[in-house]
Amino acid sequence: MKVLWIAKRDLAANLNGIQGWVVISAVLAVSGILFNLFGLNGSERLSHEVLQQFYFTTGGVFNFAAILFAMRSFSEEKANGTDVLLETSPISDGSIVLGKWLAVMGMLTLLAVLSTYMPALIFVNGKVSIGHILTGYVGMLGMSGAVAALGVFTSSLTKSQVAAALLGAVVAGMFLLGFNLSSMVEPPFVDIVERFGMYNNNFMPFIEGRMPTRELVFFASVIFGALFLTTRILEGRRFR
Amino acid sequence: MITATGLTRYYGSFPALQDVSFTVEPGQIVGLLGRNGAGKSTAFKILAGLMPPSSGTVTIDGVDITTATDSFKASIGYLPERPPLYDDMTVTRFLTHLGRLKGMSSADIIRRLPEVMVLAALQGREHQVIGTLSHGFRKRVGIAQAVLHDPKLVILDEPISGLDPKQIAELRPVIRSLGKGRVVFVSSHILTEVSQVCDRILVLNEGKLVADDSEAALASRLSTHRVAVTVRGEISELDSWLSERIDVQEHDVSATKEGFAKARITLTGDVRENLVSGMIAAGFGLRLLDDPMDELEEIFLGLTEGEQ
Repeated sequence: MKVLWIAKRDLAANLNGIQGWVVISAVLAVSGILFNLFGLNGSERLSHEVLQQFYFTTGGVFNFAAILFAMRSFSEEKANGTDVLLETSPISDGSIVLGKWLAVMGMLTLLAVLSTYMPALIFVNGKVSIGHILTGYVGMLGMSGAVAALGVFTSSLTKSQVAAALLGAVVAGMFLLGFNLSSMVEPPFVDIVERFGMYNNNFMPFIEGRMPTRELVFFASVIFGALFLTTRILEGRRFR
Repeated sequence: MITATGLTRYYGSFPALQDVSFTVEPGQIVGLLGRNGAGKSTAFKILAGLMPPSSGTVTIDGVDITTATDSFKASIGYLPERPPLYDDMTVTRFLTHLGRLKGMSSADIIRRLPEVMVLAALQGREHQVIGTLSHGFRKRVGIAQAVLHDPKLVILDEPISGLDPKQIAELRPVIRSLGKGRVVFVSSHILTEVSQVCDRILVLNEGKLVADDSEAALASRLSTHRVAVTVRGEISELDSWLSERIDVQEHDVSATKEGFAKARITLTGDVRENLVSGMIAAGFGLRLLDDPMDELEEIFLGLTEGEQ
């Protein structure tokens, strides 16, 4: 239950302040423009192709949003000295980390709900299955959830939100664009590197309307790993 | 009852706290004094459960908090020097949120909130956004969060730092009232405040506990008799007159304005009346006779210098 109180507090901080709404507005504006440019304009195409284009561009923007929402998780608490409130409360470090991540996921879910007008526009001149729409959102939230977990992790490393965001972007970038490095390595490592191509590898089936368990497990593993490392960072502070 | 036994903490090879032991009964307000780097913050962090000691134990009613699970934190309230507050929340929302984190039920929070508002003198500010509060009220909200869950141990690190004299006077009874039935630790750089608020004083120097007693008992341990005088007269004359007196152990003379001189004098005993009458008989116009420093400050300096 305390996990939810921590998440609720962070959600409220995002929604009561201007920062959260600026990110939401920016993400919706950018994804809307990209959807208009690459999804709705140009040559005629099938409805499901338009939907795939929406997920391809919006998925990338969501990852930026995940980093921006996550950057304040621990950095802001440290900078303001309010991390003491959590550390002196009878809550496990794991619960604190989970609460922080859930708050970011809350913001991303809100963002996802607000973005549904774009797939809905496809119904004006075409038709796509609700299943394809939901599958795409599951994949987008899975991928941005993994990026959010990486962002929460980098946020635990520094007091500076900007440094946390930059570091988060670098770490997440390695996961998202890992496939680009695959041409630089030899087998068998190429398979390992390709697995880290979260965007072009793990997310692609969801864009196409498929929901493979293997990719869900991959996203869950990244989330678990990043949150586990964050917990270890919090525990380690006491011994410095 | 809070018992610390052999508390030692190293930062690398540097000993920040060395073999510190004490026992404090409920109802006592204990002042922790020490110069910068003496180990006060380290001691507080260990007591608050924020940092484990390198060796030694701290027990609250027999439970060792250095090895216990997180649940012991419900027994501790901690206010760091800079109050940890969420500026975007109102006072009531903030305290309600903290109550939930501390594991209080909704019923307990509803019952306890009005009591804490009175205890921390926050009436009328319940629905004010914390970011708009003055520094003094922010300190009070910090105290309120530290005692909301009715902890057995309350730790206030520099609770009056940054406050003006009026705010300090207003906060003093608040701190005193916290001591009812619980152990309260207070640290401060304003030494007179410690003497006005605390029942007992612990003095740390270079990580070691060099004194543990009441202010009066500590004062009796030191036998220095110091006075400061300001007289109408020449510096050289005052200097030579003090040099000839056998009851003056040390003196330091300086000018104030033209025709006046002041001296800080260490006497061999409590012979202040003899000194004053001799001074007047010698033709010096006595303008001011004062303690050269606050008594507690003298204790503090005496103890820490003595150790060094």
